Amino acid sequence: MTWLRDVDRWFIDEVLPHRQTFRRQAARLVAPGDVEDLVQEACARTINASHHRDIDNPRAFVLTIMRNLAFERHRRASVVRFEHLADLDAMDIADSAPDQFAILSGHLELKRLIELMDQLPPQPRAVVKMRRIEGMLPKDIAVRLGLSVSTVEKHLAKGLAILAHAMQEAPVKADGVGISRLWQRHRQRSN
Amino acid sequence: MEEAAGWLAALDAGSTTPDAFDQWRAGDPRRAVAFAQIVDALEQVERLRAVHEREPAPPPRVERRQLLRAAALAGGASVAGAFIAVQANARESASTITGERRTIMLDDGTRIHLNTATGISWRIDGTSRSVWLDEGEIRLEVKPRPPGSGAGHPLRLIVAGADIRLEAGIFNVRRQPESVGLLVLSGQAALDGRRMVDAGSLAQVIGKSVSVRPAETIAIARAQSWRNGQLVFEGESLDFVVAEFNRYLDHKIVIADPSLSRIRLGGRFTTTDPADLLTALQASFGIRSVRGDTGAITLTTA
Repeated sequence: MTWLRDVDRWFIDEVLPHRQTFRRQAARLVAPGDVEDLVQEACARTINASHHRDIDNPRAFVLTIMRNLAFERHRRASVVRFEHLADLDAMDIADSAPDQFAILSGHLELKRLIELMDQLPPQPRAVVKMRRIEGMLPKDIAVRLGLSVSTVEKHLAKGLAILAHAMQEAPVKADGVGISRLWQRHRQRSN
Repeated sequence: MEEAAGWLAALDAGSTTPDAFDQWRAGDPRRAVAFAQIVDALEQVERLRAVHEREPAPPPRVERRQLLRAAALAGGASVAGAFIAVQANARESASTITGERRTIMLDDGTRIHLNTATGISWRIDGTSRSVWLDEGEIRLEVKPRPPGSGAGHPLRLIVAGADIRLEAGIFNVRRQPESVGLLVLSGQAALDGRRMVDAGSLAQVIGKSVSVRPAETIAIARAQSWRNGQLVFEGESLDFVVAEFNRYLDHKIVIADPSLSRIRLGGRFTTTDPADLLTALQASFGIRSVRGDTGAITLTTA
């Protein structure tokens, strides 16, 4: 896909797999209505980073930005909820979230993915399936379904938007979690 | 997210340029994030391919063609600046090559069948729907407008200067070099805002003059059968038959002997293959057909 820059590739592979952690931490830092916005803002700053290849730990990088942003917001806010402030202090960059040592592929369970596909409206589902799974060209899909190419385009956009939304919420599968757990235990012992 | 998905689909369909997209993405890093999330969703869906391909007859993969098209896009991207402004008023279009037929469904539910060598464009917005027939022949199956969206608003059809309003119904329209023929199979049409054409009538527009008369049975049969790839004749001259056939053929049939032109014949033939016609001509009239070096078929007396 030629329209992906290096930073986009890096963002998809290194940052997006941790989206669950970001949401969870954001929920501890701000009011429920602001969670999504805080995560998006932190991600936006991350994808805009000029030196993304130098970031050793993208996950910690995003979490730090999130904490700083939350701190800024709290400072400006007229009413601050105390439990949020407490969390700001407690939240170490090397946080203790359970998936810290898991190597995340960012992949959903296949079963969950199939469920998400099944929940799409019929036409977007058919178009997404033909385009991405069967590899048909948009104009061939248009002929097959008796639609205009622009309508096919709209259905594809709609289907992908619904999927992407759902995936932000869906838990990701932790690949190789067994190995990292072992390593974690090893580290604890050696400390 | 919806906006980002729209851009990805547009890039995928080739209906926008990478430059226009880059401009949009550069406008706000949140857009880049949303776009990355869409690409991620897309890549996840692709993993289902492995599951899907266990089914019989896996479909061909098209990565190479996608790459080629992406390269073509990148090559033609220099005019992208003006693109977004133009897009709002752009017409959509569809066409067929010689011998091809296809069916298009417009966003308002109207179905358009395109006959051989036909080009149309259309534009549908909140208040109006317009179709242009640039060349060839179409069958329009016009749906009534859904309630609440300017109900009863006719579809506007523009052919060679003729401005036709179509109510819900079925219409066959053919554009020829000198004239436009509108056959109303059902429903009603208004020509240039005044002349009404009812079901079963054929309107011929030549320049500024319009004639409306009841359509012959054979004209209706012909309008009904091209959709199924069939040509119907009922005693027309060989001249006419060959001309009709040639619309569907890359390698045209040529009548070498003028005396043959006056032969009259009838029958039902398939448009994709002139073999039946040539056999019939040989059997009934002793007309020989010779295929030349260029592929053209020449008809001569035996």
